[in-house]
Amino acid sequence: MSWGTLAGQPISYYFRRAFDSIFATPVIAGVTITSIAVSVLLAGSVLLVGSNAYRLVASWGAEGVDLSMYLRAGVDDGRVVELKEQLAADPAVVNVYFISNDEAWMFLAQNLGDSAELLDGLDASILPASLEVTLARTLDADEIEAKLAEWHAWPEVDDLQYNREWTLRFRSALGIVRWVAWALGALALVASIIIVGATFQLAVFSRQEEMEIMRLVGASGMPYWGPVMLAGLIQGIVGSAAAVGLLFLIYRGTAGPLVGQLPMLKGTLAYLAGSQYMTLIIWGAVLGAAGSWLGMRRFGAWK
Amino acid sequence: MSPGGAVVIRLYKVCKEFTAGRTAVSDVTLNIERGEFALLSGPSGAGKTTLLRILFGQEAASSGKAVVNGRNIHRMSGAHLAALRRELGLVFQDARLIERIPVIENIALAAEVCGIARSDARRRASELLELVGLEHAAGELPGSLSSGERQRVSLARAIANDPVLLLADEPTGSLDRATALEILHLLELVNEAGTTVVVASHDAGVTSLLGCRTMRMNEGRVVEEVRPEYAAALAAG
Repeated sequence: MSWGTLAGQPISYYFRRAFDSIFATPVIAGVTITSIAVSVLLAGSVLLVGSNAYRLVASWGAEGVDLSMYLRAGVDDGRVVELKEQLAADPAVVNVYFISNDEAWMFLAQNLGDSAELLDGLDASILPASLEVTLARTLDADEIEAKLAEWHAWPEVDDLQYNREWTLRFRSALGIVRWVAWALGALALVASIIIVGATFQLAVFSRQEEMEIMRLVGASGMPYWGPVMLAGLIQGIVGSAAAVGLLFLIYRGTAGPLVGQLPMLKGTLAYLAGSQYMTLIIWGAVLGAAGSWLGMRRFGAWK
Repeated sequence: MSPGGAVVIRLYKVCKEFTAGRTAVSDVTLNIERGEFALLSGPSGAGKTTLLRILFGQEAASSGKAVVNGRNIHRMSGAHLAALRRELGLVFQDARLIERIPVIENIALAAEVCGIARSDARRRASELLELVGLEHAAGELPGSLSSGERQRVSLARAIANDPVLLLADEPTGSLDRATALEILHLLELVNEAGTTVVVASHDAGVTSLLGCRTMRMNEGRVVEEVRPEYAAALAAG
């Protein structure tokens, strides 16, 4: 193969014949492009909604897993600083700060509000000082339990508490979002293949006579099927580009009002990333080429 | 020496049976030499078209041996069959043109798929259109042409690559007598230029004028053969 030729034919031959076939049957080309656009729009919607849902759920646990490390009475300030530094140096820890007995007393009083008089006659020393630790979100349940066991063994630590139930629920919610996204993605994939496969069968059927004539005059191999595949590829790119553009317009039209209705979404909604755009365009191109191939196989033109 | 030697078509006990049990071609043995003009005649259903389809690889013979231009075409497929077809010219009753592209492109495409550069293919197509008297129709779509004109385009396409062998299946089948004679005249010109021509036709009225070697088929068999000298005498009257 020399530069500019492919299987003995100039590259221009493939493009000319591919574009000829697209423009010669504009209605069928339109239906084909639309079917790819619908398929990519479907896949893009799943991707957009899925990634935003995941981001939203993940943002609920953005601060990580919070736990309180209650210290035994009598731990001196110097040791507290050492413990705090030791925790801060742990890669599993995102944040750590100290709450003294007095601060804990003050928070309790504030939380009790009008009922603060219940504390009359009691001393701040009844509340333990604590180190408030935020663990990284990436830790799974086993890793959290391992950390708790490690720290619980420290002689200065009286007790460790964290909202285990919330953490498990949160992680379960993330898992569900991920699985739902995968399931919908797989559904979109199957639907895409069915829609596009059927459409391309129509397209190839409309060109069956022409392909038969091509074969009778001696066309074979890549010069024979290459233009058909290329036409599918071009239609795939056009269809997916249109779908990505349309998806962007839909996003622009709905994201603002949605944030207005649900302020919790502010700062978490985002359109697709550049790599996701490219994935969808490539997906459309692959669908187009695969559709052409399936169509040719269906009508026995792939030989 | 060319691939097939002096004989372009060599058939030995060729049979074709379809799955329904119908025998289309039965025990046909014949040779056609390079430069010959041969006619397969006989009524519809005699097996002429099936025999031609075997010769250009559209049908596989059920048994027997078929050699075209030195190649055994039994079970030939894919690239080998395409390569053989590039050495042949085919003309059908219904012309079989690509309707969405202009006449000149229909002819040039046949040359282009054989690896001829596009500009050369178009130049060749223009020359052939002139040969068949349709230079004025180069840019028209096939749909705007008459049956006779379409057949002339089909003939021009068939000879775009200077084929060794031209197979024409009922080339005059849908034409009036005057137009049919024009097509036969063009086929004779092609033959005079050195191409072996085999025509299948049921139209005895027209083909009797050819004065060429004639093989009459009936029920899948060659039942009679008239050598060219006799045929010429018959044609002369």
